[in-house]
Amino acid sequence: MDLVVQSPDELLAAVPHVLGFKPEESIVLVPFRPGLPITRVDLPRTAADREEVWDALSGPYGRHALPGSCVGIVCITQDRRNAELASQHLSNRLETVGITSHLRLWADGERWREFNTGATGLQTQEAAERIAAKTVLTGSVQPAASRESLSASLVGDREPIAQVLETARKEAAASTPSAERDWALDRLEQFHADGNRLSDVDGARMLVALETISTRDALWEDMSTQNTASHIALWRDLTRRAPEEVRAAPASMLGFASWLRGDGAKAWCALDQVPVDRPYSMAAIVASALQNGLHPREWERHQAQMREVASELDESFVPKPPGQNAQRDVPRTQPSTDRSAPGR
Amino acid sequence: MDQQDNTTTQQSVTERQLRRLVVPAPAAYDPSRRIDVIHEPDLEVLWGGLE
Repeated sequence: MDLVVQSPDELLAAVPHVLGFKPEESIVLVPFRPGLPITRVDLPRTAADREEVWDALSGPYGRHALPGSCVGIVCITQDRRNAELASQHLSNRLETVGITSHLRLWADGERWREFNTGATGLQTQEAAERIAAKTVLTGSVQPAASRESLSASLVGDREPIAQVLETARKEAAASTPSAERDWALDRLEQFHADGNRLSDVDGARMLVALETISTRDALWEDMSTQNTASHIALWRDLTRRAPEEVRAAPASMLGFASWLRGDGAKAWCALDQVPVDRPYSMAAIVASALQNGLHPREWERHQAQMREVASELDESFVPKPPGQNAQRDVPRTQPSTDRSAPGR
Repeated sequence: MDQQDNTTTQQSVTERQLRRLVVPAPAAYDPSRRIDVIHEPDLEVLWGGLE
């Protein structure tokens, strides 16, 4: 194994780059091999909290554990004693689903201690710079200073679209939902092609179109693992620019797209932009997927099954040319001519 | 952001598809208990080229 991280100091420096932000008062589970996710949770403070954390983690870790799975438990907190208790508890619970904890590391921003061995050391600027330089070389985005600053990056200037929203509403009222849906899908396709930011007028029209659930769903169903980057760019921009009354939909779309790319932390930050006083069922369901640690491949698998069913239905309903048996779903009685019969 | 999934009767077809995948049944959305799960993380920065 070509180790990039070669010490606890370097591991602590690398964790923010993998998470996308610098964690605070948190436990981070870092896998040593592909297969398991990286997970960050708020550091539990009581025995009951520790059990709740395990309740939440047992689902995804129980589902994804493979023989030989191992993780590092990294506690980032000022409270070393609590870190020791929480990491021991988590290590014991992970063992029950076949996951070994190779290290239990605590750090407070200045010092670290590995509980299993008792080794200690300092967190150094040199390690942080070395890891940062490595990630710059790979073209990775540098981590946000905190989870809060990651959330704050989704708040932009919302006034320009607010000023044209009323006009967009009047124009939508004079149009038809299907015409607006077609426009929205065309505009999405154009964005996929050129990546150019929507004008305020187009942005307002898109946000109004999203209020029709069938239109929103048509845009939602366009998402796949192949185009998440483009969807994230579009919905991130509109979430930043959307006034409160039309922000729930783009924020939920951003949440879903972020989850589909595997990034639960950014998905949560997107859902934070859904106004508190505007219940939105898509946001609630995406939140449930995040809480349950649902793997995005489950959605891909489900969509593939749905496409298969839809395709079978399409074939069943296509009118047959004259002269052919018009009856649908009749089992074949003769083998296909281009395939050998069994035993032939 | 609503703390309860209290709009189940108005879910769209696509929402219902996602909800069916969420096992166990969707829990209440609790902003105080965030679990950030990063699936398929890029472990290159941590461990370099894995064999």
